[in-house]
This record gives sequence, structure tokens and C-alpha cells, in this order.
Amino acid sequence: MRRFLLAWEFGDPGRGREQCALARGLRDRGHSVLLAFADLSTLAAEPLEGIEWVQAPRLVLPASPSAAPVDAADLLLALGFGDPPALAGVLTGWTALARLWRPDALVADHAPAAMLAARLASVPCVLVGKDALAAPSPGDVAREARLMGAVRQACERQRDKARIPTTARELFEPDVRVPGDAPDAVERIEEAGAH
Amino acid sequence: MARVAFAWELGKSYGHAVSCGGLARPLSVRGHDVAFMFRELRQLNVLPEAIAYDVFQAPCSSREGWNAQIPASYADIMLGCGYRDAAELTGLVGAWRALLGHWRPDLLVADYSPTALLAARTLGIASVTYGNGFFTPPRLSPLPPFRFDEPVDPARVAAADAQALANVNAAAARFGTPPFASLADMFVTEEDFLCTFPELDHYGTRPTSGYWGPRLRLDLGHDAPWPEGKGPRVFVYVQRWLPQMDALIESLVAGPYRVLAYVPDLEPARRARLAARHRIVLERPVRMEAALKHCDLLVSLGGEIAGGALACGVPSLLFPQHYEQYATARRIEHLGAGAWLHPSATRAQVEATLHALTHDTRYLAAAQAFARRYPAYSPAEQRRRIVQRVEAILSR
Repeated sequence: MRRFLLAWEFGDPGRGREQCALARGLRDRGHSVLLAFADLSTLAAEPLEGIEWVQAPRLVLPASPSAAPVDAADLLLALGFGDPPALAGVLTGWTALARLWRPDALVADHAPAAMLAARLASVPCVLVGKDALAAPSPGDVAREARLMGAVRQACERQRDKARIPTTARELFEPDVRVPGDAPDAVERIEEAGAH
Repeated sequence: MARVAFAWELGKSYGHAVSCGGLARPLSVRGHDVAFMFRELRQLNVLPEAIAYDVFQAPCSSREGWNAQIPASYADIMLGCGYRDAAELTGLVGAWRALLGHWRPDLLVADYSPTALLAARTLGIASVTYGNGFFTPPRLSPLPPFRFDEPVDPARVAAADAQALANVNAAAARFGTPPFASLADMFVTEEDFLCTFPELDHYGTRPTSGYWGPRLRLDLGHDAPWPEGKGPRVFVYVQRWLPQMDALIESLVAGPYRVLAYVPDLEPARRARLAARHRIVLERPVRMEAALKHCDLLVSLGGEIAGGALACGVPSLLFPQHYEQYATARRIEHLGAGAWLHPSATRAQVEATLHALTHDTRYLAAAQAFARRYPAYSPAEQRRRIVQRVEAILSR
């Protein structure tokens, strides 16, 4: 039996529903699952017997975020990654959750801070879903430098800092990618948790 | 040694985090394990010691404040924060249960955290409340209104209470907990650390309660000596988004005041306008122990710093931004130890009020008279007594 932490931090509530379906699949195969969601309001209506949930650490959006992010770094800045104290707080929340739940793998969908925290806490990361973060395009150099400066500051404030990223690209690189709607998604996630 | 979890679920800004930090530190020093379950985690930047604790995100309603009317009672606030819908509340309670169930505290210290209290009850975890009068409702049924500036329809208060109670009981049933007879029963704890003075209690009166005095961190921050000179010494601690920020700056600049000002993230242009040899604009929080000691006037939004200043015999000019601060401001006004200004106040009003508070000696006399009522109060002594009581509860 393995332990999985399924994270959803922002965006379309459909991501949460898809994560719930994966959680049920993992539970039915005998694994322990903890959901960490941005929005808890619909969980009581989901059939989640034997599955627990917590609040995902809340991203602190800037006062004037980019209305239409032009690349992945811009999207992360719009999600508050450019504010080192705020990002540090979010990472602290995720790494504490990792210590509490001791997952064999993080399963992330629209959860970039959880992915970064997984690097810091040496938890294998599975990226599911089909979002912009799964395939970042080359971006603006100055913007990426600003992003990475803030990320480094936030990471340095953590108790766990196993793998601090040095390039923006690393922020988007999971250990395994699994399309959430793949027929064998649960089996592939299960396998990722075995390593 | 025991495990103590601090929950902060509702409310904003730094006060809750800093107050919890103030109590957590002596408990940690005495060997207890500490966890923070906080609504906002950015505030950890002023609590570097928290790196030694486990810090989690507190569950929060993602629809907070949606379609909520201006609250008149604690039940109204609850309805605006997830208690309007049984399913949403069940989601919140479930999240608290998971955190508490896995971290396994021996005691929950709840700072404005009704759902944490509810979850702790469903798990049989001992709890205490820790906060000022606004954050801890009187144990009355229905929970009484806190508004005193306009009539509140008793039927509205009862209806809000009944709606919140029905949803609490629906959530409790989902987790196998017997129903509560009243909403007030949800708040039954081992102790209420009611951190205010009776004169400043937001509810005015309540059934017999122990008052522990305001939570004030005098020990945080760095020392900043008062500027030399003869003008009145004004300590300013406000937020930069204060509607009268510019009026306040201009009024301070126009007067003879010596100023110590801490305004987090104040814009450079405003900082440049305010700063002068006798007006120090601080980059970091100042150690209030020294700042309040020789202070003639505190300028703040309200909250517990105003009560703390009053206990030091310092009058206040208050710019309340929400009802909790407004209630504090009104009570300090009634004591004659300060004045408050509406968000629409003009620069002329700010200037006149500053002048009155620093020249009319009645304000200072009222503040000093208040301080003399509580000679045994000090923030350090308040914390020492609370720690002692917490350990007595833990040793049962």
C-alpha cells in the first residue's frame, strides 16, 4: 500500500473532479490518498469514503496580476510567485503537509507550488492534466529572472530544500507525466509511487 | 511534553499570527511541540522562529463574503464564511479533522476559529479560545448581536443563529457527532483566554468571564529612539491603503510632531514626503516597548495595539476600517482616551483631531487613569499567566 497526495491549487473546478476520480481509483487499489484542494466546497457531495482532504495552501495573488499571461513564467507571477514572503508561506504549508502525510508521490494538477515543494521535500512528482504548465514555451528572459529570484528567496526560507531549482524550466518538470484522462492513469501513478 | 496546535481561521492582517507566535514561543521553549494552522501564511515572514514548527494552511471558504449582508452577530459572520451551506461546511470541517487527526494535538488554541473548534469537538480534542472580545462570542443563545450603533432585529439574530446551527448539526452528523442544542454550545472550551479589558469588550457585557488583557508583542521589532526635539511624540502604525494616508502624512508634516512611523510597504514617494529629521519612517517593525514608553499619541487602525497602548496610558487616534476596529474605537472614545475618524474624513479633520489629541490634556488624563486601573497588567505577565493555565489544562 502506498500513500498519495493529490494537489489542485487554482483554476477550473473540473481539475478537482478529475483528481477525485483518480483518488477513488487509487483508493480502490488499496492506497491511502489525501486530497489538498483550493476549493473544498464540493467535496462533501463527492463519493469519497475512506479519502481525507485538506485545504491547499492558498496562493497570494498580486494586486494587479497579468490579465492574460503570455507564457508560463508570466502565469506563475500572476499566481503570486513573484512575492517571496507569500511564496515562502505557501511552500512552508506544502512541505509541512508532506512531512505530515509522508506521500510516496505527489499527484499535481494545476498545482505549481505543490510541485516546487515536492522538489524541496524530495517527494516524487506526477503531473496530470493538460494545462499550460505541462509544456512551457520559451519565455521572456527578464521575466524569468524575476521569477527565479523570488523563487530562490522563497526556497531558502524553507526547512526542507533538497532540490532548489536554478532555471524556470525546472519548475515545470515533474518526475512523471500522466494525462489524467489516460485509461491507465491510475496504474501509471501507482507505479510512480513505487519508485 | 505536549502538542499544541494554534488555529487562526477568520480575520486578516498580522495581529492573529503575531499573537499566536507570542504564546507559541514560551510553550516551545518549555518543550512543547507547536503547530500553526493559519489562514494566511505570508505572515510567517515576521515569525522566523516558526521554521521550527509545523505550519499548515487553515481551511477557508472559497466563497467567503459572497452574498453576505453586513454582519450583526457572530452567527452572521459564520454564515458568510461557509456556514450557509451544509455541504460546504462539511468540506471545511473534514479538512480541519484531517489536519487535527493526523497532527494529533493535545490542545487546540483557537484564535477566531469556529470551525477548528467544531472539528476538535468531533475528535474529542481539548480546546481553548484565544482572542479579543470580538473573536470570542458570549455563550448565549442565540449568539447576541455585537452591533450597538443601530437597532438589530432580534428575529434576524435568531434566524441566523438557527441557520448556522442547522448546518453545524448536519456537518456534525456526517462525522458521527451528536447534535448541539445551541450554537453557543459549539464554543464550550476548557478556557476562554479573553484577551481584552472589560471596558473594551466588543460585546459590552457578557456572562461572568475572565479577562486576561490584550495580546501585545512588545518584544518584537527593533529599537528606534524618538527623534530629539520638543513636539508631541506620535507613533504611527497604519496600513498604506488607509483612505486618509495622504491626509495623515500632510497633517503630520504640517504640525510640530516628532514621529515614529511604521507603515508596511509604504510607497517611496509617500515615504519621502513624510520622512524628516524629526519624523522617522521605519523600514521594519519597531519594538513597541520603547516606542510606547515615551509616546504622546498612538495613530492606528484599532485592534489590540490600541488596547495595549491604553494600558500604557497612551491615547489613540483611530482610523477603524471594519466593525471590530470600529467597536474598539467607539469604546476608547467613550473612555475619553481617544478619537476616531471616518474613512471619509478630510485632511482638515485629521489635522484638527491630531492637534486636539496632543494638546487637550483630558485625553492623556483619561488614558493614564485607565492604565492605573490595571497596574498588574503587562503583556509579558499576561503571557506567563496564560502559559501557566495552558499547562494546567494539559496536565489534567
